Amino acid sequence: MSSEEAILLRSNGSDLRLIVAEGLSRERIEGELTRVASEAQSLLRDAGVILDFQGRSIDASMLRCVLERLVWPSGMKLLSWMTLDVASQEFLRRSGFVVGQPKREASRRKSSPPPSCLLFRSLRSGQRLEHEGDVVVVGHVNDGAEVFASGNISVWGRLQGIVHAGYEGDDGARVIVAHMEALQVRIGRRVSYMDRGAPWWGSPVLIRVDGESVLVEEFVI
Amino acid sequence: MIQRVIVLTSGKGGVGKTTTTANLAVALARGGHKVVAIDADIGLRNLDVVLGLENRIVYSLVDVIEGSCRLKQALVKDKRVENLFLLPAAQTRTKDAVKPEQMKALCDELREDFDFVLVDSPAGIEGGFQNAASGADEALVVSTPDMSAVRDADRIIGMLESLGKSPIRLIVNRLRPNMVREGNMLDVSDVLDILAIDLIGVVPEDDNVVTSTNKGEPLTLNSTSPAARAFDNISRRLIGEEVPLLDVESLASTGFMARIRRAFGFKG
Repeated sequence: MSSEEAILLRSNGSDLRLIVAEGLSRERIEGELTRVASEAQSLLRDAGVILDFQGRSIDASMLRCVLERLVWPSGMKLLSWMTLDVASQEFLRRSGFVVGQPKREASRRKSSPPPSCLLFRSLRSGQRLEHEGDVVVVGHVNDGAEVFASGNISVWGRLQGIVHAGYEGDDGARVIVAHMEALQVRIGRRVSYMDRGAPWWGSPVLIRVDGESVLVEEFVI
Repeated sequence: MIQRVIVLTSGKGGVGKTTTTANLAVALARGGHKVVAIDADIGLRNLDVVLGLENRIVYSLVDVIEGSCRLKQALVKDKRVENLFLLPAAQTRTKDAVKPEQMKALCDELREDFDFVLVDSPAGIEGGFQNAASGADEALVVSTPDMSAVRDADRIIGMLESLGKSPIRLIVNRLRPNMVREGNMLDVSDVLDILAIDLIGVVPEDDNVVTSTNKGEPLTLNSTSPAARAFDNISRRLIGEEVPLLDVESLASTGFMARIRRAFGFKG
């Protein structure tokens, strides 16, 4: 992997997202963080930055390493941490950090739709993605994995885990799945239990709330 | 050869991690490699029994870490196979007796003297697993072809990926071809479809495993039973040999679902 691919900086409108590639060794991460803090200092100073560690776990020593090598020397404004590892999410929350997509201010909420999250990977058991806005998973959501979105959720692969669309109470959110094998789907304030014997089991489906019911329809374009 | 530290893990208990560790350790040692098998299941040690070395244990892994003995004093040499050693777990302590950084230091020390360091992980995803995985570069995930074991394996694979272990390869253990044919057991391609990692071998269900475990004589010592041949083939694939899958292993699919897996970015 080249150094350009090891840590990516992406602009997200007013904020920056710093993505640390998942396959990097611990030693390589330390070196890359120091390099980025030094080479991109003018870009990072006072900028709002989301640190995205993808599926990597973050423990106390990694947290200290990131703060000492990147956050403090660069002068960035750390907005939030992102990781799919649930234990790391809880550790960071306990440590007082914001985890996941940072909440937008009310004025910004009204003026523009929330950004979508496009995830090019599968989620394994024990991994969780939370996002304010729509989520598209270009991969599978395995049994034991979870996706929570305030907007719609689309899964391009097989869904066996839990998805909760419109988790802030939006019953108008929808779920689209290419290969439906989940036993439960949540939309807004409703929970629906699925049946393995249903005719659409294993097929592409669109799931939405219709009146008091959760409706599952085979999805054909 | 580059010295390799490999953790054998599964998440779920009872899928055959310890049997696999013992058989691979013997097979690699018989192939001329210097091997140490570490029992990282502190408090519930089993690897010594499966290897038939339980009566020769004086010191344990915890004694080494606490400085009560030197590493060489705790290593138990197998008299039947040249170059095979066991570092036993303590039976009277708990998994909290060891910290991940201590385990990593121990594995790094063993790496100096051995071609292969095989770490037999306890079941679960807590401290015992974290300890076992901490010193390893790569991982072998053992799963039986049933949904609960596969789901636990999926969880463990996610954790191993998040810890930066690579490669992570799969052993499907205790496959019963008759049940697969009758549709009462997951097929290897079903397991691969979910777990989406490289398959390094499939071990058929074999009654000889029970006998060998009770006798403390791993099958790869001298047996030619189907499981023995499967373990021996896995050991050869570990060192990079191209070994075709056994007949029972031909159930593994490299067809449509494998291509779908790769399209979704899984390694393998």
